[in-house]
Amino acid sequence: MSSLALKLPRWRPLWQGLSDRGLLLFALALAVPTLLLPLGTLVEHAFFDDSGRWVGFARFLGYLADPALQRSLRNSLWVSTVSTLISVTLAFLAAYSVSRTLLPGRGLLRLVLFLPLMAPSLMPGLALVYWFGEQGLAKGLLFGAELYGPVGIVIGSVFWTLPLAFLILSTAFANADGRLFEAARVLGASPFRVFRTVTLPSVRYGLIGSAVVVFTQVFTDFGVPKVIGGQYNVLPTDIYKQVIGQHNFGMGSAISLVLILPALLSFAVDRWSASKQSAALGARATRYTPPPDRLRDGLAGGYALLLSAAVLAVMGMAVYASLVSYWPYNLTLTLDNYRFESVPGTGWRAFRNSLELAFHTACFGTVLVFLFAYFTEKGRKGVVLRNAFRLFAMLPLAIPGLVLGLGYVFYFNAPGNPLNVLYGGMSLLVICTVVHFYSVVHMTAATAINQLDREFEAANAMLGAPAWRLLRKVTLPVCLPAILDIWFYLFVNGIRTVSAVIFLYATDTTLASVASLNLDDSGETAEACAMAVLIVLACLLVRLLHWLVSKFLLARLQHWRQS
Amino acid sequence: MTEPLLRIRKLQKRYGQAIALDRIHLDVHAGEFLCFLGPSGCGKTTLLRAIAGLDPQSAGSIHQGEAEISALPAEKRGFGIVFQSYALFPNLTVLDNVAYGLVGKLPRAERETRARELLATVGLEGFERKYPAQCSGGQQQRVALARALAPKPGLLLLDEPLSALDARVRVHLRSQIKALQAQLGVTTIMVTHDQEEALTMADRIVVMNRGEIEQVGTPYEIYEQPRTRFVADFVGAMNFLPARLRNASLLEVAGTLIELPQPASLLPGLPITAGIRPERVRLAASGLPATLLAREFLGSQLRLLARLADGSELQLLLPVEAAAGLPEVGGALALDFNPDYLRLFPAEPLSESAAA
Repeated sequence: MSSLALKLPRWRPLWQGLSDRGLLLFALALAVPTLLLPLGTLVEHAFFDDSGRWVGFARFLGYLADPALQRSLRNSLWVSTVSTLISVTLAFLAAYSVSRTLLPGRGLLRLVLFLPLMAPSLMPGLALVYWFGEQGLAKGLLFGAELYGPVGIVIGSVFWTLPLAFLILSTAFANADGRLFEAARVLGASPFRVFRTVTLPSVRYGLIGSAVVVFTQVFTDFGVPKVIGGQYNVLPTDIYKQVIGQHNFGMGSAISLVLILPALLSFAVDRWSASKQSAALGARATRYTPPPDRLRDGLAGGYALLLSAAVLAVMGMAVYASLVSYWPYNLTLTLDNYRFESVPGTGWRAFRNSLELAFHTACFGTVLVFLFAYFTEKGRKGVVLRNAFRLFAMLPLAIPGLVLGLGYVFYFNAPGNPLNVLYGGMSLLVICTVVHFYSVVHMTAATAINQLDREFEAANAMLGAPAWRLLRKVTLPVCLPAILDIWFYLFVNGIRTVSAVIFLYATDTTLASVASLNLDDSGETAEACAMAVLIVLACLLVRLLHWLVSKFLLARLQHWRQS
Repeated sequence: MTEPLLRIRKLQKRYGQAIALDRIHLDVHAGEFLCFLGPSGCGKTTLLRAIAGLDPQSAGSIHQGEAEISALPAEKRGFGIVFQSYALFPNLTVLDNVAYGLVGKLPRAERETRARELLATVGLEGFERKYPAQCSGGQQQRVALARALAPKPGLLLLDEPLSALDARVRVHLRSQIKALQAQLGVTTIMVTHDQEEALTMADRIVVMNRGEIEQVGTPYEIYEQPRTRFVADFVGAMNFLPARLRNASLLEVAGTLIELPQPASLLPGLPITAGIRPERVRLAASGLPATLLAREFLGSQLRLLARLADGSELQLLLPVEAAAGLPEVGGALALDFNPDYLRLFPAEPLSESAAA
């Protein structure tokens, strides 16, 4: 032993201390040009005029004084509130049916409800045009109401936020303690009283959480109102018009800052309820299995059928519309719309670009997220750096895509910025998309990493093994399911995203989601549908791949879990 | 004594302002089984991790033989460790876990042979292909032990290795580990808060309190000759009675004078504390007058609680047969003990003794 000790390389501990701190510093340094400076520039644009003179709150005051913009704010608040109420109610009933009744085919409802997550947010808008638009199949069902406007926005928004609310609420339902229901029953409480005193309180945070998330998503969404909003203006479409239409960047930034407010609120509420929820469920809680009840189960079944039918009708209509020759006059099926002849050459290229964006976002993002999460959670040194990075990692959650994208335009398109070369390129689109979706995947990675024994690194060192061996032999294999989830999440969101990239693409980096929007804008609704369907197909294919990998590859690598 | 295997001098560990370890001087001898014993937060695990090189000390030195290893990183020290959580790699088989530390040091076939040997040594033949989650707590503990022993560590460190197990397994494993350590002759340091564990397993015990070493000694010395009131209180049960020295060899306890076998080193006249183990107190025909407050039947023994003339209370542990001659609760007793077993400590302020 002593001979070994004499040969001790003195630089080693120093280097190890540096590698922890160094990587964190690198991560923080990356966040500066990709997150902080773009947002900073955005704020600057809101408070200074084009020649750099301080205008203070003049833009905000001007904004508040402008009746048209005031109306947009009111409109945004109105459609967001109504959509939230409807979406959360529908999701609550669905989550209740799945976890609190003996509904047959629960898995199927789950599957159907996740379909909208595979589609770009404007897809329901497109489908609704075919159902309820001027030449819609079921126009009569609206009883004369105008689709283009609040009605359409609400229906479309409910459709694509439903899975989010359902996801949050079913987690809340699944986490409820079964012992409470038994206690309530033994004490002779009526079903209604059990619902009021046990069920509702146990999903309280889920309800709050889903409401805030849905509200924020609708409030900041751009796809649905763009497609189906008609003359009904909301804040996100205003930003688009100010920036793209009128080149009024100052006003665009001012509205962007207003757009951040509910997101910040949602962020705060989310952190608050996360801190509450962890304490709600003790280690000794049991799973609740409801007793059979024919009436209740029947009602749940009917509801599940209705909801699934609605979701499938919307998705199906988009597919059908993409295959029809000339709606509504020639309903013969054709693949012509997939040639994208109205925009020769760009259609399929946009789709290829989108695949490239999604693939690079997923690969690049997964590596970075895992690396950074590993060092923020596992490092022993640099507490301040780690907390700083944790804060940065959560920040994108509070920044709507449109706002982030606008910040990118201001920052990267500035003439003096050496990073200007990135502007319009694929790499900037990838960077923006990774940053946009960073928070959720960072949390996923951190959760997986924190489930590892805290002493693995110490045990590895004590066994004289280099750090990379632990990573290769233990950390990565154990975290593989989470890594696959992260990859899939980044891919799907990378291919669907519209809001963050709408200001950033150039002609040769047009994306499918944006192309779909533009096709619809120029009246080529069928081709817009075709493009959206391509996105859904890509998502489904990757989802299938993800499922196969999880099912077969992981089953072989992960059999240590089943014991 | 020969040259110690490990020499620890003036070791200190600070976390910001807080001092977790201070004034640690300790020699660890080759082949011995050493226990760090103390309440939670006393710094015993911190000291173990400093020795391991996992959380290096803030000041002071550690020498291994002639070489200073104070700044050597954990993976270069060649020590083995068993963590409280075992930290077994869940996705590796028991065999791969044990062979993990041999990768790059031995060819594959030899790794497997060595790992199989070790599994046999800890009594786990046939577990090679299982995963940690398929093993019971006690089996996992032994896998962790085999894994730590596989690279033939110069020093084996055990961090509360038995605390996660239930009582029966714990007692069984205690003797197993001790036997294994004696068989392999590997120098071992174990951290524990369980005094019984320390007394039964250790060759020497290091009693720690508030980041400092209170006493180092054999289990017998620690139990019979505790140097401080803390050690007396933490290891085993001890009655503490207010007392006063009349002179160097005459002690007054509850109004009764006791002749000491050796002159005490404490100052006469000042209030002091006299300690006596419950099992050293006997019932006698004459002696310290006391009142019986309560009696408990413990199965193998009888525990009595008595109050002395000055109001102080003490416990007695008696053989069960003593029950026959006992008065009712509230009745009078006469207590006696051999003054050889008395330990004298300076009186401590109340709050401090409560904290100890």
